[in-house]
Amino acid sequence: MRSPGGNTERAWTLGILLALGLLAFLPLLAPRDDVLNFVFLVLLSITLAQSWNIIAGYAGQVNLGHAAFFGLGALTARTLWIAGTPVVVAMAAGAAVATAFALLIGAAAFRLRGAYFAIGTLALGEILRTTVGNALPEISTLPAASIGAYRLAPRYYLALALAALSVLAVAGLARSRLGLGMVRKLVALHDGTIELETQDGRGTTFTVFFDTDIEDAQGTGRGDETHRGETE
Amino acid sequence: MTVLAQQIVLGLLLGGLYGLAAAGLSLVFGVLKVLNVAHGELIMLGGYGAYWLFALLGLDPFASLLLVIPGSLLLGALLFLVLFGFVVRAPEETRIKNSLLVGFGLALALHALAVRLFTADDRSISTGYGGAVITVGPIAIPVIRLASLLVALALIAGLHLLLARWRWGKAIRATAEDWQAALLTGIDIRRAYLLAFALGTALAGAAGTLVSVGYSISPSIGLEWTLKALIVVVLAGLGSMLGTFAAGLFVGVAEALSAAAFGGPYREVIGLVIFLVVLVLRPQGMFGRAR
Repeated sequence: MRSPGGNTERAWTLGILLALGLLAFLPLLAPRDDVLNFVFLVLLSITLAQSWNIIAGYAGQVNLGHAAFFGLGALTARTLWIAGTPVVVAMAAGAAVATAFALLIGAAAFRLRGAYFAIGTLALGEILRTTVGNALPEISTLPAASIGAYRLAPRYYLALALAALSVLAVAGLARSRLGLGMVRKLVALHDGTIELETQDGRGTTFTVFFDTDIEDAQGTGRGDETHRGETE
Repeated sequence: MTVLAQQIVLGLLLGGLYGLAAAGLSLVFGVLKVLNVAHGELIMLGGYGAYWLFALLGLDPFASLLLVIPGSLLLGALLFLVLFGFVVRAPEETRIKNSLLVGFGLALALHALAVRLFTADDRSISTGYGGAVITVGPIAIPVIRLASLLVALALIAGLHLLLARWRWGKAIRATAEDWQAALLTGIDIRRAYLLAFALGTALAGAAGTLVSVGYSISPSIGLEWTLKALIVVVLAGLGSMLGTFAAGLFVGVAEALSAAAFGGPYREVIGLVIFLVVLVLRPQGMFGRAR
């Protein structure tokens, strides 16, 4: 995994946030529901992609059951919102439930690597879909009153804020000490070691060592991998 | 009691198809180290192939296997040359991840294409002998499903022989075991990959044909069958075609028992839960090489 690091990533982050900032004017310039709906979906995709990016891009594990977290968040938020909770609170609760679920399955899930992690999460998503779909068949409907009172513009801004938040979160995560801490934990998960060499003004070179077991189809890692980080 | 026995028999008959579906996936995964999550969609396409041969030409589904299998072989070769052939150029770990994403995309594309071309309606082949049943005591065994089981077993046995005796079958097995050694002994591993992928697709097509005559097909059955095949592959482990078939029967019976215990809608869930448990506790499966 190569991270361009430093200035390039910072520039990209700022550029994206600027573009999102410009999109804030869209409801004023083009107050049409179909346009807003389309951009809303784009913003939703940005958030989803960034969230998937954390586990797949930065941690290198393909999660095919990501929809499970999306579904749990939606389920919680919907239930609370229909009962009268303000939508932002409902969304936060949805995020909390999804996080709790991830923490719950995390221990078991991360005994799997590579292809097995992918198909394990695929199965998990399917389990949730089948169980919820059978237990709560009316879950995808909304009461008519809610639909009548629905206005797209506030939701659009919510999606915009969420998209911006997700971009910031991922950028921050990659650059933070939390990121380094995660790297250390991840490497430990793979029974590897890290060595680093730092030179003032030039940067730090991290070398991560994994044991390769060629027969191990789980794919615990390659021979070794070199990452170029930034000076802290 | 009779109801339970009947459910178990039906589960066994379905399990044979699970085994056939899994065999193709297992072959591709074992040789190319590529997890083709579009395998279920290939089964779906095979099913539609048989359906249209029946609907348009009146060809008996069991006879249409003679056309669907070669057709699927060609489709598999094409998909390898156009798509998966590029995926196998990467080193193993990248390869698996790329194949997952490529396969996922392919599955979505094939599903959308099928909905476009065939509509989303359920289809099934109803032949004249469709309702025939063999009665063994209180148990009724549908003839078509029994014939499907026998065909599935024959195909798997045939594959096993092919891999054991045919020169290229041995080359495929060698590539699966250690591609670097195979390369060093002069085996054209790219051709071995091509053959393995084509054979895997052919098995998927055959499975699809049997599904369309014994059960029903629609564009959406892809994911369901991919998961079933994955469950069986993980249960069986890689390396044994007959073991995969046996694991398929096991899953079929397990599903039947769980449907009897927990009710119809949750039939799939139990299978998936078993799958996750085996995946975490014994990833090499029942018959796989011990770690």
